[in-house]
Amino acid sequence: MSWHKKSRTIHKWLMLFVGIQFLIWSISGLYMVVMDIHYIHGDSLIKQPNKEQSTNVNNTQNSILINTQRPPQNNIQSNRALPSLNSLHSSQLTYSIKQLIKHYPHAEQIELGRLLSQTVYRFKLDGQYHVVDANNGDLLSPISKSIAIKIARQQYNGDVSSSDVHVSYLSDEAPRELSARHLPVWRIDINDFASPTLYVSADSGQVITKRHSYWRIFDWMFAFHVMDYIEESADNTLLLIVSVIASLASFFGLVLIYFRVFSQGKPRNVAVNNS
Amino acid sequence: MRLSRSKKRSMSKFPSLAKLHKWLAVLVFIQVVIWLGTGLFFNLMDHDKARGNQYRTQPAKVEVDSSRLIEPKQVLTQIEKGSKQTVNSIKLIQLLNTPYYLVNHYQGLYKHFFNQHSLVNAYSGQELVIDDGIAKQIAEQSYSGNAVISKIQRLTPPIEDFLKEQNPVWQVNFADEMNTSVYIEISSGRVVGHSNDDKRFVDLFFMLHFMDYGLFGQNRTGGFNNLQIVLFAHLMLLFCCTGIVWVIRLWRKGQYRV
Repeated sequence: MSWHKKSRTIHKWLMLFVGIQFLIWSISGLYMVVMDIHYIHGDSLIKQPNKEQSTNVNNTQNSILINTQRPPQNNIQSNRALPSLNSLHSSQLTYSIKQLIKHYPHAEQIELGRLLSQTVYRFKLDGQYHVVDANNGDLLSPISKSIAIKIARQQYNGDVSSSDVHVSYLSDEAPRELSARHLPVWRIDINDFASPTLYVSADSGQVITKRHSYWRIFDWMFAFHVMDYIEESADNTLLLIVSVIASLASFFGLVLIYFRVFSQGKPRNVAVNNS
Repeated sequence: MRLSRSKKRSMSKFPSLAKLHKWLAVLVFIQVVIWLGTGLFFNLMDHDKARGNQYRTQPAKVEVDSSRLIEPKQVLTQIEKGSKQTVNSIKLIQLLNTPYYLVNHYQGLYKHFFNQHSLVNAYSGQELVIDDGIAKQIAEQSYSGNAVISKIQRLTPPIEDFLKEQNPVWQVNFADEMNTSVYIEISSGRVVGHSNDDKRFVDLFFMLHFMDYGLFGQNRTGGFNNLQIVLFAHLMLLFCCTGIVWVIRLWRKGQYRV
């Protein structure tokens, strides 16, 4: 048999076995490259702070108004919410860090931040986050369901009423889309486009992960792309075997390209009839 | 019979399946070879080496003397009176065995997004600016190798070794056998990461797999949302579909009998 014929037979047979994976690779690959990765990460689900806001407190109002990156309705919203939402004010800070350390001597990673309208200390104690009111030292964690809903509504880039959300508490088992190290969490499912879900840590009161339908599809696409449907790791034996066969199949495809396209004097419609 | 079928096809409006498959192959074959080769590489490569952390080490924490700490309220009040910058958070961290307050002025959604910080010594209240001397010390503390520093320079994004990083950094190069570079975020002193020749080699394969070539006036992003890969992904899907249809036709014609 000539190389031409041999290649045709091998290409035909190998593709019977790996052709379907080629199709899966190209569908999943196409999905992943077409969808904007920041959208997939759910970045647009969260209200973004304003770049100019940082430069001067007095300019905050103006800078939000001249920001062109947001649609107009959102401007109004952020104008109302953001300055008090993110920034700290010394007036809300009466419980000192010395008092805090005295009370929690083994506190680690102490950070002053916000929880809704309050200024709070967050820290880790025995690997677990705690939240303490910076005004009076009250322990605020673990946070309640209603606080978790408020946090989600405050951070979510869109209007949701309380009836639009479905909340569940996860403490033992994490779903596929959440790393177990984040437990315990409040899972806030929002009844909106693409079924977004915000995960609010029950310990720290922070939105730790955001997911939506297109992320979930992306996740499966990636799993199918690397042929690891559970761990989603690219170093698995199934992928190795299929990739090697796919490479061989493609090599003989390359030989065919050589004969059909670049080699002169061969009849071009051989393939249609005989292969 | 055969002749008439092929004649019929060549006369139809659309090119025959075989022709379509052949010419799509000609268009995409180079990238398909790259995809398969780099894909195999990702499957076989040493995933630890790919991280570039051969000489990465975490500096040991020192005991903080809480009686010497100044209050974060003092830091906040000073900023409210002085620069009037927004303060989103104040975090007690350690840099070079000293506690510092890391003050956030602009909070990006992620660490590698644009962020603005300042640093205040938590004992003395003095502001710390990460200059090349400080960056050098931070880099040395994160480095477990024996080599000396060969070069320090300030870089603004895009940063070749960390294309997703959006903050200005100090690049601290060590004169070791794998050309380790340590990146320190200028506003916070955060170690962005280590890179070395192993990681750069792997990054080259990612660039090829993602077609992240920086064509058509686009910058390289370290990601896979670019024009050329979107185009090729469409062609590739079409190419695979013609192949699959061909396999099905062959199967129906009984060409897969052993």
